[in-house]
Amino acid sequence: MAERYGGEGFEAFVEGEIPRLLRLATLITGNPHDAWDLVQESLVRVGSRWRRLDRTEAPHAYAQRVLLNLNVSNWRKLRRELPLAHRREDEFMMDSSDTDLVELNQVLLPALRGLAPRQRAVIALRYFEGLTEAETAVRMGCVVGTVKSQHAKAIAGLRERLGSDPGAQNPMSSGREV
Amino acid sequence: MKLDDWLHGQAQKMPVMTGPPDGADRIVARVRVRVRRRRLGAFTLVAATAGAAVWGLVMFSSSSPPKGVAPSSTATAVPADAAWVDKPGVPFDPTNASWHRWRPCAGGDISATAGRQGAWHGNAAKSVTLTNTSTTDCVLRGAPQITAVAPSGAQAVDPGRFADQDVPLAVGADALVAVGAPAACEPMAKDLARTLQLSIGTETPRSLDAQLPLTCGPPSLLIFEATDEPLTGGALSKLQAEWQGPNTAQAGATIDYVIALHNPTGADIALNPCPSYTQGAGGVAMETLLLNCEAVPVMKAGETKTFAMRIALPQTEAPQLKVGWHLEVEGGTSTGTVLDLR
Repeated sequence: MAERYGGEGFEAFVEGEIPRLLRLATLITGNPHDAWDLVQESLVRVGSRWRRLDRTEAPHAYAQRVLLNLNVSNWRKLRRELPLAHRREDEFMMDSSDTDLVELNQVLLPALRGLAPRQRAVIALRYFEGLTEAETAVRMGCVVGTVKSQHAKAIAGLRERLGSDPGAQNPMSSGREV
Repeated sequence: MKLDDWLHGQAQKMPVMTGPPDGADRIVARVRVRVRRRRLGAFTLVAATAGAAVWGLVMFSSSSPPKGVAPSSTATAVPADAAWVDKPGVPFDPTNASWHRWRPCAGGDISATAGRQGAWHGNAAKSVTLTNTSTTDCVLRGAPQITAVAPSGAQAVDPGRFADQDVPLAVGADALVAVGAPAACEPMAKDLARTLQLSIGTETPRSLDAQLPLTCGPPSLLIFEATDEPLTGGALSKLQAEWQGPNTAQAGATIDYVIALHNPTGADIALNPCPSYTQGAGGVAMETLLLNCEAVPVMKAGETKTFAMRIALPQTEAPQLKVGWHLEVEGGTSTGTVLDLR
C-alpha cells in the first residue's frame, strides 16, 4: 500500500517515530490529547511529501521541525480565537499510578504550560532530546542567540514556578495526597 | 537539587508514550487520502466546487462561437459493452451532495476484524476494524452494540457519545472501533473478558477475541470513526472515464464515440441508482442522459466497461471543437477531447 503514494518506508517511519514525537509534543503542548493531535497532523504532513523530502535532512529532524512549527501556529490561532480557553485538568489523562509519572504530570508539565511555546520547545529539545544549542536553533528555525535567550527566559520561568528545589514539588515525595 | 539536574532527571524518567490503538495505521490512511485527493486533479475540483455549469464552460469553450446544433444522421454504431440509450437523465445537484442519503449499513454489509490490543489513556483497549464489503455505500447509524464476555458474566460496552454517531462507509472503506476498560487497578487480570460480541443493527452477534480487564471499571467505547475521511460522492466518484473516439469530425454532424469507464478500486461498484452523464460540445449542445445501467449494472473491481455515446455537434466555423463528458455524481469523473473539424 505504501508504494501507492510513494511512501516507501513511511509506515515503518511512523511506527518508530510516534513515541519520540509524542514525548516532544506532550512537553510542548502540556497534555497528551493535544500532543496526539499534533503528532498525527505532523506525520500526515510529512507523509504527504515523503517522496519529495530533502534527503540531506533526516526525516526525524524534519518531522520535529514540522511539529514545532505547527504547535506555534496552533497556539497563535488559539490565542487569537479563544483567548480565555483553558483545558480542564481532568482531561489530562496520563496514567499517574507511579511516582515518576506523578512528578511529570503534576510538577513538570504544569510548569511547562506556564511558559511560552518557544520556551517550552527549547526546554524539550535541550533537555529531553539532548540537542545542542546549534541543533536546537536549526530545529526551531532561528538563530543560536534566540535559543539562548529563550532558554534563559524559560529557566527563569521554571524557577519562579518550581522554586529552588523542584524535586520537593513532587506530591508523592512530600506526603501530599495525590 | 539544581533545576538543570532535575530537568535532566525528568528526561531520564519520562515514560515511553504510545498513541491510540491503530494510530500509525490511521496516520498512513490519512496520508493516502490526502495524496489521492491531490491526484484527483482539476476536473473533479471544478465539478465539485462549481458544478456542472462551470465545468461546461471549462470543457466546452471553443475558439469561435458556435452557430447552433444541426444533428444529422451520419453516426454509425460503435462496438461497446453497453449500447447508447436516449433516456433523459438528471444533472447532479451539488446542494444535495451528502452521504446522509446513503442507506443504513446492515450486518451483512460489514466485516469485522479484530485489531491490536493496546493501551490508551489509562484504558486497556482493543481495536476492531469494520469494513464495508458490500457493493454500495452505506452509513453505520450509531455505534455497533458490543458486549464484553468475561468469566463473571457479560457486560454491555457503554457507547457513550458514540451511541448516535453516524459513520459513512463508502464501498471498501473502514471504520475504527476501539473498546476500552480502565486498567489502573490491581489485580487487573482477575476478571478478563476474552471475547467481544459485536452486532450491527438486528444481526446475530459475532464473536471477536479480546483481552479486556473488567475488574477496574465497566467497558466503554473509546473510538468510533471512519478510518478514511469519506470522499464525497461515494463509490461512483471513484470511477474513471476515458474518451475513445474519432479525432476529426464534420461540424454539424452527429458522431458516435465511446466512454471507457474504469473501476480502479478493489471492490465492485453497483451502478445503482443509475447515474446520469452530461455531454456537450463547444459550450452548447449540452444534454444530460442516463447511463445504460441495464447493460452494465455493476462495475466489477478493476474492470473497464465501454459505453457507446452519441452527440450532435454544433455548426461552427472554428477549426477545432472541444467535446466533453461528465459523470453526474458528486465528485464525478470527466473526460473529453478536441476534435479537428473538417
